[in-house]
Amino acid sequence: MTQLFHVFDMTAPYALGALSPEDQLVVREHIAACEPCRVELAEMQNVVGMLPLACETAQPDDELKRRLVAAAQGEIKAKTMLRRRSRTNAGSGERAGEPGALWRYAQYWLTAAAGLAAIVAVFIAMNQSHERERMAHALAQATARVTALEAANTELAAKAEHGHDVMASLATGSYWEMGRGQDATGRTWHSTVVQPMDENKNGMVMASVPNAPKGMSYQLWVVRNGQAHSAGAVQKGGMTIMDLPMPLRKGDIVAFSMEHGAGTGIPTRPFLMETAI
Amino acid sequence: MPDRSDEDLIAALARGEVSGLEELYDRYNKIGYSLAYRIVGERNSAEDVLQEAFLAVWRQAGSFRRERGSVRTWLLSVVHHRSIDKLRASASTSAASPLDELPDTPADEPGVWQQVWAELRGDLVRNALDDLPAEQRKSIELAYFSGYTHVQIAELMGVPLGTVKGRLRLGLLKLKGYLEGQKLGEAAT
Repeated sequence: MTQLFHVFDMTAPYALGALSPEDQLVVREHIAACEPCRVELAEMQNVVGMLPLACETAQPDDELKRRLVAAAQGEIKAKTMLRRRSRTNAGSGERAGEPGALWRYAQYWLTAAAGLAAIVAVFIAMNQSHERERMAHALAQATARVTALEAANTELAAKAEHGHDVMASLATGSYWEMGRGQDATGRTWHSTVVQPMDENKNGMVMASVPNAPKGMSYQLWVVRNGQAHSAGAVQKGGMTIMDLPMPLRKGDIVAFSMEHGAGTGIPTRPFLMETAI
Repeated sequence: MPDRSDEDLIAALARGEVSGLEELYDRYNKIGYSLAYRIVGERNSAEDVLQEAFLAVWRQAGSFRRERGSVRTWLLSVVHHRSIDKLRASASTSAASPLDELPDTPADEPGVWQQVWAELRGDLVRNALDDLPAEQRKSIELAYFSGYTHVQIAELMGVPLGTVKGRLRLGLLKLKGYLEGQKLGEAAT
């Protein structure tokens, strides 16, 4: 296709990395269809590729190579560990269709293991006391980060496992749409009550909950024979899965109310939403 | 064992061979570090940039495509981009140009340029830059080594944007002519 215009004035700033993202896009789209501009850009990039030679020669610390190699080896070890764990999980019945938990799990471990391996390698190699002190601080930070990642990972794994239970129950058990409701700020939310096929297992509620007003929380209840049993309260909005205190039976009522503080022993306000089993 | 080519090393990286990473590092750590140090101006930051760049290449080796440019171009491009990112982050400036990791255009390197690169000395490139008209050299340095966009350069130098574009283009074309002339001239003698 013949181009009606060229972008010769943009090729140099593009090659030098001096264009805004929008202008970069213009150039990219243009050269995809314009041979003269593509050739000119290639020439500009070749010249720009020579510019690093204009820098005064400097040399990194010898230690850097050791750090780099340690980091790469750490990643290999982490990947190997993950593959093993993945196989183990597959063997224990984890499904390929799990909702991305394994990948997020992998990212945590990969990052944590690579970072820790690199820091530890450098720490061991350091001889000078001030470097050791600096690296000790970095190691402490890295260790704290790993601990935090492990905690997050445990939480994530628990959520994934819980989510799996809910999904399995949705497929094989019974569920009821509790319906939609509005909180005090008028935002809509909804929830689903789930009873696993095994009638001895406790029921669950999967809900998308808005943030509760300050000083309040949304509390979940099971009402049986006129008596309300608390299933806990949530203050922070978002997707949540809550266990009910008992297996659900016909005639039970599952309901949310908004309560003061972190919840109460009995409902003090009208139910925001409810469903009868 | 004869030296492995850059492409062989990248293939080794893609297979997870750390020895390939070590060889690649031995080959390009000085020029990569020199570039990073020139841009960020501080040893620790320059080393961080270099390590990040080599690790990025290590992780993405499997996606390398020769037709998109050489290994050296790729590696130095990553070093450059990360250096500019670090510079902008430390200066808390929003230069509004998130830089790509990889060259995204075919970077043809005809024989003469491969030869130029292989034999070119740093002093020749510095001389070539020094020989440029001051405003062209300054514009190129502000863009490449200081991470300014062409719009920012126009503001800094107090000239219209079109003037900056022209200076950058003319400057690079003159550099190209100078460097080709140097190497071709040497080759003829």
